[in-house]
Amino acid sequence: MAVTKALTAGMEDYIETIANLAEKKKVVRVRDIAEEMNIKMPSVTEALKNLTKNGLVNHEKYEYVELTSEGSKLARKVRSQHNILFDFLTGVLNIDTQTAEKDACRMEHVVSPSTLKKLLSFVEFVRTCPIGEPDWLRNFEHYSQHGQRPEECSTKAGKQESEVKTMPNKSLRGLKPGQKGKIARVVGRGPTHRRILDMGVVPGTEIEVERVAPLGDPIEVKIRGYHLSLRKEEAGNVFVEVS
Amino acid sequence: MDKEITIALTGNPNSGKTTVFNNLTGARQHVGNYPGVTVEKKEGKLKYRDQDINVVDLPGTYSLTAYSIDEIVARDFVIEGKPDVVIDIVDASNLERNLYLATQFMELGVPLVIALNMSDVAKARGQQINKQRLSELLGVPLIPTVANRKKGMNELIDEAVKVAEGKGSLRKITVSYGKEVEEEILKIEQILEKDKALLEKYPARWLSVKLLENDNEVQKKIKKSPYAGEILAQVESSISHLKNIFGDDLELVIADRRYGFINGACHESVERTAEERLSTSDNIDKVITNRILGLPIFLALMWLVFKTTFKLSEAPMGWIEKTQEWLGATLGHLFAEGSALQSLVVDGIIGGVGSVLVFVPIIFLLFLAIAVLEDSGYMARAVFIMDRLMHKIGLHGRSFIPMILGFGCNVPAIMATRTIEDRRNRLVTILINPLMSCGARLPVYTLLAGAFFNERIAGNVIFSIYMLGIVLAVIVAKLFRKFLFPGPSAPFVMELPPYRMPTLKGLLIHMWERGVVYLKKAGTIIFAGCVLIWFLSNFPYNPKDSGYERLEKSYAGRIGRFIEPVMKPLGFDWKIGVGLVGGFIAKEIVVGTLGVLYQVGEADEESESLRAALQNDKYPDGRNVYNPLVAYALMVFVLIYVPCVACIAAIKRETNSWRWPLFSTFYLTALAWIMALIVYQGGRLLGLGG
Repeated sequence: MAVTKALTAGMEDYIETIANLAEKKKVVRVRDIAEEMNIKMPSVTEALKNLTKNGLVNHEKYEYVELTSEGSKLARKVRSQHNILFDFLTGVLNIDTQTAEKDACRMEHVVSPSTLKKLLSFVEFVRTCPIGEPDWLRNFEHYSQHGQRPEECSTKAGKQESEVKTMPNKSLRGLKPGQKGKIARVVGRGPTHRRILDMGVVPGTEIEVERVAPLGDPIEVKIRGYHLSLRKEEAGNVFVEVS
Repeated sequence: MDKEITIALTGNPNSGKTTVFNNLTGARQHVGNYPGVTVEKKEGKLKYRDQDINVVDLPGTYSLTAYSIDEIVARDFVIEGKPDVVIDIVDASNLERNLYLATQFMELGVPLVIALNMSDVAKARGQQINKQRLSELLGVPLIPTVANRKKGMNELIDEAVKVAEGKGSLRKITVSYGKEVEEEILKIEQILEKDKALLEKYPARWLSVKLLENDNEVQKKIKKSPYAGEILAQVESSISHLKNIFGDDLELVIADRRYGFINGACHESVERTAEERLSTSDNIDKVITNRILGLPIFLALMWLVFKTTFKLSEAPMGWIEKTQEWLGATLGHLFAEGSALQSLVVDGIIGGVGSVLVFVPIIFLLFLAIAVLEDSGYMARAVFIMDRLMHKIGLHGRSFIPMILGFGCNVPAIMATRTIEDRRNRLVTILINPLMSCGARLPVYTLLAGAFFNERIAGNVIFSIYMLGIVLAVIVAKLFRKFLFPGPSAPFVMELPPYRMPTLKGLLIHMWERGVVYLKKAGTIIFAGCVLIWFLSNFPYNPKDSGYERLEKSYAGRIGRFIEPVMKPLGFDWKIGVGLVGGFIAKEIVVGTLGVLYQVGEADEESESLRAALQNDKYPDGRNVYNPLVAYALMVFVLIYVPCVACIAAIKRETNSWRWPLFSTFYLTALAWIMALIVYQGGRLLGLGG
């Protein structure tokens, strides 16, 4: 019964901060929370009282602050909402990480669960799209940067022009043996991404798919005069302008 | 010139670096480890015109990032070990990608010489390289070599010594990263200037580029600087400024510029005189990695390697055992019959040395076979073919070969995990390897299956044990990957090098190195283990005792009785316990120990008298000790429990710590106990065994 009424955005922020601090440190003090949220200590104490009343936090005066199981459940929920929004902002709208972080923080309190669910499946859909980034999304990027549609996607009214279509970029994993082209983009992060770059898989380079392994994965490509094999999962991060 | 010169050899994998190293140093090599890591350090000496030269063979790498331990080791050695000159072996037939590493050494500002190796292959492919032009464009002296025919070695050393002595004449050149990036590099460099101590060790430009690349290792170094705050603040603002211009991925921008620089240099110095056509290597691959033929060819090759190595090693293993017996008999006469000293020399010492040596033929032969697979280029194809399967259990294609070898002997199998780059994958592969039922366990299965199952199903019973091992290995691998070593899979971005004819010298050196490593590092542990078990099964010593009495009263016998309560739920009595203690030396010893305990004299797995003794053994209350269910539970236990001492020694050697051999001892024994319990108690519930 404790958590029937909706918490205010501020309260959710407190819960989130406590959960984050608890991960970083062994114990959480009022001072830590005040510092982290840039709020005066008395206000924190006041808020904690409120949260304790709602059964989300254990906090005796001058003692450490702990989330109750109810509280951690809420923290997890808020955080996963935060992550979905963050992924949408960075992954789909291409907003820089700092801004996205800030915006996600504010949006997470007001978005309804059903909208969130749709957003989540949307992000997943775009990410796992077998041909890589859908054309319209790439076109949208172009549109938001240059204020006009790229040629191959000029307005519906101008259909007749778009008959002369250039081949769109395809993910390397979707290419068949024997297909070749020029690398258009390489996305990703971390060691695998770096290894791919170091091996010479950078935009502008010619690449040709040679074959697929007998069990269906990895694939073998020819690039810069040598043979390279990579898993389809990794090849999904390389986009090729097929010639 | 008396001072010794240190040359560091570096280069991409498959560039012929090892061949150059072998040419330069011959047999005067020393293999060690870099401190704190399991990366191998190879060193060799040579004398050139009265000049003593020390050659260090750095791990083969494609780049110098902080993501791979090999790459960190290579660059740390070049920065901190301060070699007098670095020779970068470059595969001329694969110039662009090989020069990528060179650009990074250029950035490090170290004295550099490039060996343009395999220039014959490049020529045959119709590439005409203008060496002088390329050398000027890179600002690095360039020596053409053909390492597998020993061409150009003297010229290479000549040039290296010249550069080491500071007589290099070329203007140093660095890659330009474009106006925007260069501006930021300059800003960071200016702040770095304040920390003079830091700049004595590292070039400012290199540090700046690495900081922009978000290199963890370099960040750690900077954090120790008194100016850390200022430096990192500048780096942060530079990165966010550049991200605004180029988007999120600075690593891509930097890699792109390096390749751009290389493209430019190659464009001006390399001429193609012939159209590129399919090489022999490409044609071979059309068959060998073919979608339909690839897998059968791979399996056939594995079968061939397995069969021939184990067949060929049977004879020398027999000789070693014969020599051991002869030596034992001859030396045994020198001591009083039945004395403890005699037993120590014959069973303890000679037996222990024998246990070490008996592995030598198989290890040498297996590593010869692996060297052929590696050096010919087939290994990379095997990995390519098997990766899908291994990736399913969270491992890498490279884990497959050690698994196969494990069915012969886990010791060379564990030593063969060296080719797995990723530490977590390597550890998991090592830890599950003992579940591959090795040849030494077969005698135990044969004995028990022969005694308690009728001939028609005995073969299937043994087969089911092998299958159980594989199933457990898959499950354990998945669990370990999930809980013990969580994290994303290691990248599978692997070069498929052109097929090459291995050189005999290269193969022999390869084999020799592994063999010696085994003898030196694992040998001592195996020997110590054998002497320990000898002691446990002979003491307290009483010369009048028969073999049976001695074993029964010995510490091993006491251990057997002591652990009987734990073994009881599995259906085992104390004699089985003693046999299992003996199996720590090698699992086939379980058979011999049981032979002693049942007083049937020399017994092997086909011994009818031992089988009969087992069938007739009864508890005091008249129940049979053995029945098919107990026998099966025992086979399961022998399959899984403590790896043999040689295997433990190999794990210690390959992980460079006692932690993992201890861990595998405990987890395997616990797993063995649980599985045997499930079999025995489960079987009883189902009304089997009686």
